[in-house]
Amino acid sequence: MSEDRFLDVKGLEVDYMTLDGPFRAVKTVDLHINRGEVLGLAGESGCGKSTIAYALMRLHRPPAFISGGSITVDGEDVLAFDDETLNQWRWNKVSLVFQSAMNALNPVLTIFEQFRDVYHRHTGKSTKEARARAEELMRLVGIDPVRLDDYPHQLSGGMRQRVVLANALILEPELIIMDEPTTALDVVVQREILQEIAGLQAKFGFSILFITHDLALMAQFADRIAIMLEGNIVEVNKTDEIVNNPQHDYTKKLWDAMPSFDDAKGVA
Amino acid sequence: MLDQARPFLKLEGVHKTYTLKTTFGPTKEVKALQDVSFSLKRGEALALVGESGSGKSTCGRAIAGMFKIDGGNIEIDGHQVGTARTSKEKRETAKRVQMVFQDPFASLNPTHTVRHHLERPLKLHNRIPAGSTLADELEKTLRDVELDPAATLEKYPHELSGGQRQRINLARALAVGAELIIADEPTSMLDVSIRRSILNLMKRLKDERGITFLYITHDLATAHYLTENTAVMFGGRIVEFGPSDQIVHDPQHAYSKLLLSSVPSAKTRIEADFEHAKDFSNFADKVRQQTAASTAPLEATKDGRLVRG
Ligand SMILES: Nc1ncnc2c1ncn2[C@@H]1O[C@H](COP(=O)(O)OP(=O)(O)OP(=O)(O)O)[C@@H](O)[C@H]1O
Ligand SMILES: Nc1ncnc2c1ncn2[C@@H]1O[C@H](COP(=O)(O)OP(=O)(O)OP(=O)(O)O)[C@@H](O)[C@H]1O
Ligand SMILES: [Mg+2]
Ligand SMILES: [Mg+2]
Repeated sequence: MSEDRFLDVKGLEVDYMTLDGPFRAVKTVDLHINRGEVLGLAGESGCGKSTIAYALMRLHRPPAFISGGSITVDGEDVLAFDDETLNQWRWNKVSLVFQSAMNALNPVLTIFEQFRDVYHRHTGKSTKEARARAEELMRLVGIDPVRLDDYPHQLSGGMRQRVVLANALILEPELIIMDEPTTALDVVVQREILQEIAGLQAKFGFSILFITHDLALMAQFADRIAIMLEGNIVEVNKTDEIVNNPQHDYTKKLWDAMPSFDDAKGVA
Repeated sequence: MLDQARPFLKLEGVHKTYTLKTTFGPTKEVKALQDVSFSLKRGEALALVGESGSGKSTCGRAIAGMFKIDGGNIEIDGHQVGTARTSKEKRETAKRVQMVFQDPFASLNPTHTVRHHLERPLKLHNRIPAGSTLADELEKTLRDVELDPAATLEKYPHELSGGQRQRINLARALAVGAELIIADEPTSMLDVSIRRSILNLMKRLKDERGITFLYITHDLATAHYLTENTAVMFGGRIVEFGPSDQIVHDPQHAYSKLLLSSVPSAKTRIEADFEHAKDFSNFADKVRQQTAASTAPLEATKDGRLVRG
C-alpha cells in the first residue's frame, strides 16, 4: 500500500499529574495510519492504549496532559485547533468508540434520544431524518429498530455495545478509533459486525485504529499491528509479520499467553 | 436432568418476561428466560455461554434473587430463592450467593479503601470466628485472592489495576462467605495474561475451597478449564447442555456449532467484501431463525448430553 498518512503522530507524550508528580503514560510515541488502513494497537492492561485514544481526539481530561509531540489528521494540526473547530471536527472527521462505553450511555434518555442529540447538533436535520438514520444504523448492527425507544438498562450488555458502535458511525467519519469495541459481544455477532465494518470500510475508505487485547481477533482484521509496552511502541509491522515472525520478546510473550482450544494453558 | 445426586443449585422451568413500552408501536414482550432448568452440584462450575441478549445475565440475576421470576422455581441448597423476608434471612441468602460483574471498576466505591470494602461484609455477616481477629480475617481473605495485604489494604480502587480490582470483587464475595459465586463476564475487560490468572484463581477457589461457580462468558476458549459443564443459551432457552470438553470440541446443536466455529483464530482473515460478509451473515441468520422457531424439548443424546431438537 502506498503511503498516504491520514493520521500522523510524532513524539507524542502524555502525562498524568499525580500526588507523587507527573507519571508519563505515553512516552515519545510515533505512529501513523494510512487512508483506508486498519492499524491494530495491542499491549497489556495499563500500557497506555486508551490514553492514546483519548489524546488523539483531544478528549483527555485533567489529570492527563499532552506534554509533547504533534498530531496531524488529514494535514491539519489537531493540537492547534480552538474549541469551536475541535467540536466541529470531532465525530465528523474522527469518532471514538470508548472502552466500556456501553456502561456510559445516559440512563435517563432512550437510545433514540441520545442518537438524535448528536445528529441534531452536527447536522441540524429534523427528528424524522434522525429517526431514519438511526433505524438504518440499528439494522446495520443487527438490532431490531423498535428497541430505539428502550432505555439503556433494558438492553443486554452486547446490545448496548452495538448501539455505541452505531453511534460512532452516524456522521460517516474518516477515522474511527475503536477501543475494545467487541469484548461484550458473542463471537458470532462479533464476526458479523467486524465483517460489516470491514465492508463499509472498503466502500467508504475510512481508516480505523483498532484497540484490543485479543490478538487473534486483531490479526483477523488489522492491516498492520503496533505492540505497546509501558508507554512505548516496541514493534510495528504488517499483520502477517507480527503473527508469523514476531521480533520483540514481548510480542512473542503476548502470543504465548493467548488461550487456545487445544492446549492446557488456560489454567496452570 | 443429568444424574445429580444432591444439587446445590436447582432451576426448574424458570420464566422471565420483560414488557417494553414503545413510543410509537404497541408494547413489546421480551422473553428473557423460557423454561430454563438445570442443576449444579456443590463445588462444581457451570459455564453459561451463548448469544448476546439470550438471557445469561438475567439468569444470573434471577439466581441471586435480584427480581421476582414469572414462573418456575430456583433453589440454592434446598432454600427457595426470593422468599427471604427478615434481614436475618436476607443475610443468610447473601451468604449462599454473591455476584461478580464485568466492569471491575463500576462495582467498587471510588471513595472507599480496600479495607473498607472487605471489613463491612466481614462484620455484617459475623465472619470472625472465635479466637480470630478482624485483622486476621482481612489478611486471610486477601491472601485467598493472592493479593499482598500490606500493599493493598489502604489503596483506593483507582490505584489498582483491572485484574487487582477483580480480585477485590472476588475477595468481597468470599468475605460475605458466599458458597455460590455468579461471575458475569468477570474477565472480559482484562487482557489475556490477567484473564488467565483470574481464571486460575477461580479454579483454585473451586478446587480448594469448594466454592460453586456459575461462570457467564463469551470466552469459549477458556471456559472449559474452569467448568465441568456448559450450557449454551439462545433466545431465553438452553439449547445444549453437557460436559464442557465435549461441547467445545464436538458441539451438537446448530447454534452451538455456529458459535464455536466463530471463535476468532489468527489464521483466518475477516473478509472485506460484502458478498463474503453476506454469506456468513445469511448462514448465521438461518441458524438463528431455525433455533428461535423451534420449541422442541431438550433430549438426551447417547453421550449423555442434552440437545434441543
Ligand atoms: N486518571 C489517572 N491518573 C493517574 N494515572 C492514570 C490515570 N488514568 C490512567 N492512568 C495510568 O496511565 C497508564 C495507562 O492507562 P490506560 O488506561 O491508557 O491503559 P490501557 O492500555 O488502555 O489499559 P487497559 O487495557 O486496561 O484498558 C496506567 O498505568 C494507568 O494506571
Ligand atoms: N430491565 C430490563 N428491562 C427490559 N428488558 C430487559 C431488562 N433486562 C434485560 N432485558 C432484556 O432481556 C434479554 C436478555 O438480556 P440479558 O442481559 O440477560 O442478556 P445476556 O445473555 O446477558 O446478553 P449479553 O451477552 O449481551 O450480556 C435482552 O433482550 C434484554 O434486552
Ligand atoms: Mg484501555
Ligand atoms: Mg449479560
